Amino acid sequence: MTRALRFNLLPHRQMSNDFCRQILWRQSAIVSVVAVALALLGQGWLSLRLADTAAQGRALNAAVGDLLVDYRQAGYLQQRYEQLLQRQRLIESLDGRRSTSVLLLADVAEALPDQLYLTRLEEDGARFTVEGRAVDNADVAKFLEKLSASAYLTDVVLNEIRAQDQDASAAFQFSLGARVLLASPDLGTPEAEQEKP
Amino acid sequence: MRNRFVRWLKGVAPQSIGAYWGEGGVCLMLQDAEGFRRCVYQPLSVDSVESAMAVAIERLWSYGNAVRHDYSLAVAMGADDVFVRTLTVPAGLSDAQIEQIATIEAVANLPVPPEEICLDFIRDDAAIVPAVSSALPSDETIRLAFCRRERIDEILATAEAIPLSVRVVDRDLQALHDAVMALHATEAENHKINYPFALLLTELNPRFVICLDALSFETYPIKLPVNEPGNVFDALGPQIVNCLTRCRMVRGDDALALKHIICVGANLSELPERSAWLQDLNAGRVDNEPAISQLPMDDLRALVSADGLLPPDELLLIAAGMAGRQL
Repeated sequence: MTRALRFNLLPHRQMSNDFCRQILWRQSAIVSVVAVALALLGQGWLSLRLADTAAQGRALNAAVGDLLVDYRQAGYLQQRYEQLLQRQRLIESLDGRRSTSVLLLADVAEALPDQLYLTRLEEDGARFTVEGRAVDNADVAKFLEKLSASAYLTDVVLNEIRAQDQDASAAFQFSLGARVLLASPDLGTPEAEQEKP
Repeated sequence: MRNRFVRWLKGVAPQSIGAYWGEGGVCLMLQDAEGFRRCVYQPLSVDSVESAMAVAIERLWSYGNAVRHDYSLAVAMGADDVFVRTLTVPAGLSDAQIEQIATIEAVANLPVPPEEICLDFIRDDAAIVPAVSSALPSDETIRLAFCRRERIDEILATAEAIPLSVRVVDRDLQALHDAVMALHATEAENHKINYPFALLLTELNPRFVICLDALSFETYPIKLPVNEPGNVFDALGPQIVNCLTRCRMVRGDDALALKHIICVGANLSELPERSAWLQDLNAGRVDNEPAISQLPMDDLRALVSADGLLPPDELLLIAAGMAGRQL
C-alpha cells in the first residue's frame, strides 16, 4: 500500500514538496541554533580560558615584581660578593707571594751544596730563575734535585750549564728555571691553595 | 518527549486515520506507529455528517492515548464520483507534461473547467499497470483518476470542522481492495487471491465489484432477494453472471474468468457448496470454477470500541484500507 501505487486526488506532490521543504527548514533551523549555541559556548569557554590565563599572567607578573626587588638585591650582593672574593684572592695572592719568597729562599738555602754559589736569583711570583757557578756537574745536579723537592717550585728545569774557565775554581756556570707555587697564607702549603674554589 | 522531538525533526509524516463517511455512517480507524489499531463507528441518525464526525473523533481520542496533531485523515470517497482512465503517452515526459495531458483528458470527460477538476496519475509500473497491448515500446502507460473539485472541497470542509488535516483522498473501492488484500496477505500460497477476483458487497449498496488489477475495478449494482426462499447465492447467481458478461463486453475481453469471489457482509453467513451458476461462470475459459469465500472479519470487528455499534463490514474494510495510507 505504498503511495506510488495508489491514487491520491489531493495535490499530494505539492504537499510532499511542501512537507519536505518544511522539514528542511526545520532541520536547518535546528542545526543553525545548535551551531550558534556551540559557537557561543566555545566563545564563552575561550573567554573563560583567556580570562584565567590573563589572571594567571597578572599573578605571575605581581609575583615577579615582588621577587624582582630581592633579585636585584641578590644580584647586587652577588656582585659585591664576587668583588670581595676577588679582593680576597688578590690579598691572598699578595700575601702568599710575600711568604712564598721567604719560604722559597729558605728552600734554596737548604738545597745549596757547598761547592756551588749563586750569582743571580730572580722570582716574580710566577717564574723562578737562578744562575750560579759550581765546581762540577754533580753539584748542579744535586742542587737541581733538591730544588725539585721544594713544595713551592714545580717544573724545575736546567736551562743551561756550561764550562767557562777551566782554570777557575768554579768552572761550570748554570741556569735553572722553575714555576713558582704560591703558598697559602692559612696553611702554608701550595696544595691547600689549589684546593680552594 | 524525546521520541516526539526526534520524529518532529526527522519529519515523520503523521499517521493516518482511515475515514469514511456516507449514508452508512462514520467509520474511523486509527493505526498508530506501533501498528496498534482501533476503530469507532458512529451511525448517522438525525445528525449531520459534521456532528457525527465530531462525535466519532472525540470517541476515537478517548479510546486510546492518541494525540490529535500526530494524525491526519485518509478519506475514502465514493468510487462513483471518480473516473479512472488509462492513457498511452510518449515515454520520457515530465510529471508536469503528463499532468497537462491528464487535465486535457479529464476536461474531455467532465464538462467543467480545468480548475474545477482534481486529478492524479500513476506512471507505468509493470507490477501494477499492465501495458496496453496497442502501445509502442517507446510509449508509457499512465493510469489517470479525476473527479470534480467540489467533492474534494466537501471532504476538506468536513475534515476542517473536526479539525484534522486531510492528506489522502482515494476511492472507497480501492480501500476495500487494499483491506481485502491485506487480510489475505498472511494466507497460505494456495489461498492467496489472484486477479481477477470479485467482491460481493451486500450491506450498504449491494454491488458486485470485479477487481481486474490493483487499480482497476468494475462495479455493478445488484439487488438482494427479499423474502425469497432458498440460498441467497442461488438468487444472486444470474445477476453475477450478468455482471461478468457485461464486464467482458466492456473490457472487450471474452476470456475474462474470475478466480475468486469474496463475500463481504454479515448477512451472507452461508456460502454455497455447489451452485450451478458458479460452475457455469468460467465455463469454456478455464477448467476450474471460482473459489468463493468470506472474509475473516473477527480481528477487525474486535478493533471497534465497545461503547458503540458494530459497523457494517464494508465500512470497516474501507476504514481499514485507508488507515494504511500515507502521503
